[in-house]
Amino acid sequence: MFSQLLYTVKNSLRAKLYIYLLILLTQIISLLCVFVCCGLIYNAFTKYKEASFESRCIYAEFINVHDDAVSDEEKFGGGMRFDEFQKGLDSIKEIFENNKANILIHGRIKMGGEYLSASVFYNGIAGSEYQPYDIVATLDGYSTGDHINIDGLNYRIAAPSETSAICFPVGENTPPSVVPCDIQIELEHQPTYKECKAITDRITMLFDPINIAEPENLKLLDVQMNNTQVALSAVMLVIASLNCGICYSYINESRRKQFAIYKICGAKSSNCFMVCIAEAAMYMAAGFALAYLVFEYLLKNILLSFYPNIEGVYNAKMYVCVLLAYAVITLAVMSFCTIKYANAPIAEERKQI
Amino acid sequence: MKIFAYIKYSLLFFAKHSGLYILMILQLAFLLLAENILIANLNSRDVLYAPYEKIISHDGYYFMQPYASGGISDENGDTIKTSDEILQETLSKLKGSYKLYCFYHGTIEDEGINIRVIDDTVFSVLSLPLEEGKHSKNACLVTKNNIGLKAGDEVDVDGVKIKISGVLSDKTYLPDYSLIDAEMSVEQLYQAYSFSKDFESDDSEDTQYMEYTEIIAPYSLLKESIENGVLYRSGKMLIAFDEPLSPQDRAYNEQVLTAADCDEPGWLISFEQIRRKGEIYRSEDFYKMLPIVACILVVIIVGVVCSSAMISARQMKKFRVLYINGATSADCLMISCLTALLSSIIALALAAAVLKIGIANSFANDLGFVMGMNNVFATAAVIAFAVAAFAVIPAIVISRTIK
Repeated sequence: MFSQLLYTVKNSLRAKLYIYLLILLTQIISLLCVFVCCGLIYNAFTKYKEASFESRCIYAEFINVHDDAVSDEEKFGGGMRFDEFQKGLDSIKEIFENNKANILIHGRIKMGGEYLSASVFYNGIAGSEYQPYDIVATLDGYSTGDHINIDGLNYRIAAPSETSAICFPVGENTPPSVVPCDIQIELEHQPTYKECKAITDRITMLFDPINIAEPENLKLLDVQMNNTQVALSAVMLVIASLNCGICYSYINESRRKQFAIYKICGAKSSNCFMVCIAEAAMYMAAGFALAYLVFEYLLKNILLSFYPNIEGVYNAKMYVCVLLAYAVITLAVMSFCTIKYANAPIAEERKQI
Repeated sequence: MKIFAYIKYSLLFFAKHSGLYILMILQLAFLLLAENILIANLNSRDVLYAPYEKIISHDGYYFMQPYASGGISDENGDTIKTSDEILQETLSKLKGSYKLYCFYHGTIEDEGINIRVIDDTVFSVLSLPLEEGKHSKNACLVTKNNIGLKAGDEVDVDGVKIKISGVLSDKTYLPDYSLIDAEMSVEQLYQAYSFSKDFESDDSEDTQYMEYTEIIAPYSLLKESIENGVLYRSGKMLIAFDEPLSPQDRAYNEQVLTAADCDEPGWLISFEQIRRKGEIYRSEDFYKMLPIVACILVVIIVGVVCSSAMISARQMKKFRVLYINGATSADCLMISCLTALLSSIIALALAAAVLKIGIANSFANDLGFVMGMNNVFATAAVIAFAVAAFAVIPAIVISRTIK
């Protein structure tokens, strides 16, 4: 079979090299198009959530941390303790049960006579797993793995912090002495007027903030641009498939004559079928490899300059998924087309010659 | 007579390799669809700029007048000068002839309707996406609402009945001259509005969460209501000078308008500043779409060239037979081009049908779809390129094989 495959490919390339180069080029272009579209679809769905952060976020401020007019003790000393704050927060969470939220609280904690910045990720940090009583901090005299006593509770420094703030990634284990200064509630999707009013009224009733900001309206032009990018990406994926379909349709039709010759020379239908499939797999592998190299080393950085947040989608998992999908579709289509010709009787094929 | 032969053979070739041609038609149809969606979306980015484009092309200012909050009052709270009088006094000192574009607003409390009135020139060019109805110069627009207002209804404003010609889409923009900012562009002359966020459908009697339905109307419809004081003028307006000003006149006018020695001085943003910011935002929008524009162009070129090369290679046998029977290379090319033209027409019809169905299902609002002459030119260019590819590539193939 291997010699038959080599013979088929050598003959085809000698006869119509330019056609096969065009086929390879079309495959490469189609695959590049698929890679770009994956990034654009990812961008539309994640950037949609991130870019319209202001349209999903409710912010309330309880203590003005930038006010330099008073001492830290006067500013934070009389503030609400976190254990009292937590009770109110639980009643606010009931309002947006079905609209998941990331709650981030900034505050201060008194340690060593000083009020240090503290951040509380009340619902945890997405993509990471911290144990109860883990903290993220960079403190003098402590390193990662050390234990530190805060408010009589034993915390472990799980990782160093990139900022000076002490980060509590498991909200329910936050020390009671943390003084909340502001809260940021980032909802999963834009809240309705009713939902937003209910949340802001509850915050006002419980905590009497000095400042409260409601979500901005989603802008029509931003929504339209994201929808257009998704629609165009979907259309481009179809065009890429059709381009590859045209290429393989051509290869397939070219093989009819050769199958007749092979069968006259004693080849079985299964041999013809396998040669055709192997040839398609060879073009597919070569096309994918070249497309990957061109994209990874030439085009990806250019694309990332337009959409910096899509870097996360270009990992091995994405490339493997695209390759598998491409392989399955190509081999399925080629198998379907090839079986008909591979199994045709010789007499029928002789008519074709 | 030869033309009939060309048509006959092109149809025969089409039927013989129908599978390959169908794939090519689908490819071309999707390419036309992609190109039209892209251009239509880029056209729609101008929806905010178009009403003010002519106005801000002149010399002028977005101006917040001195004592905009309500005129000058004495210690007892009695009005000494109204804001209208202060405005007239200020404008009378300006050099150069100008036109004023004001914004008026008011509320019909009983019905929960806010009215926004803009200049007729601006209103006539307004083309915000509509869920229902159409734009009309002699009628107003209403936001999506739950008080039953729809296209064709009438609203009573201080005894004046105005007709509603269209209902704006869920997410939209409302003309709003409340913001003035040193870094503003035309977008800041609008307020982003969302029915589903700002206006909750609430059948209960508790109207705590009820927001107002907004109506946008041209000045000419509600002139009487404005003169009767039912609608109030905003302290911010556009002043567009008819002729370009000299630097000295410009400096003088800026001094008059800002009235820096007042307790409440005026604020000015020049049209040049607004134009510059607008160009930056528009180029940013285009920059965001550049990767997909490049993708579409490359795929169009490679896809069409590849299809034409393969189809030509397939057809060589038939061309040889025709050549033997007396046809020339030019005849073969003509047949090839006619086949391509036939495929392009079918692809165009298919793409147009899909777009028409999409527009009827209001995906035009979801995608921002505004068709213009550039759509027609781009479509013609793609089809011309496809037909040309079917002339050039077969010529290369034929010249190499038929000697």
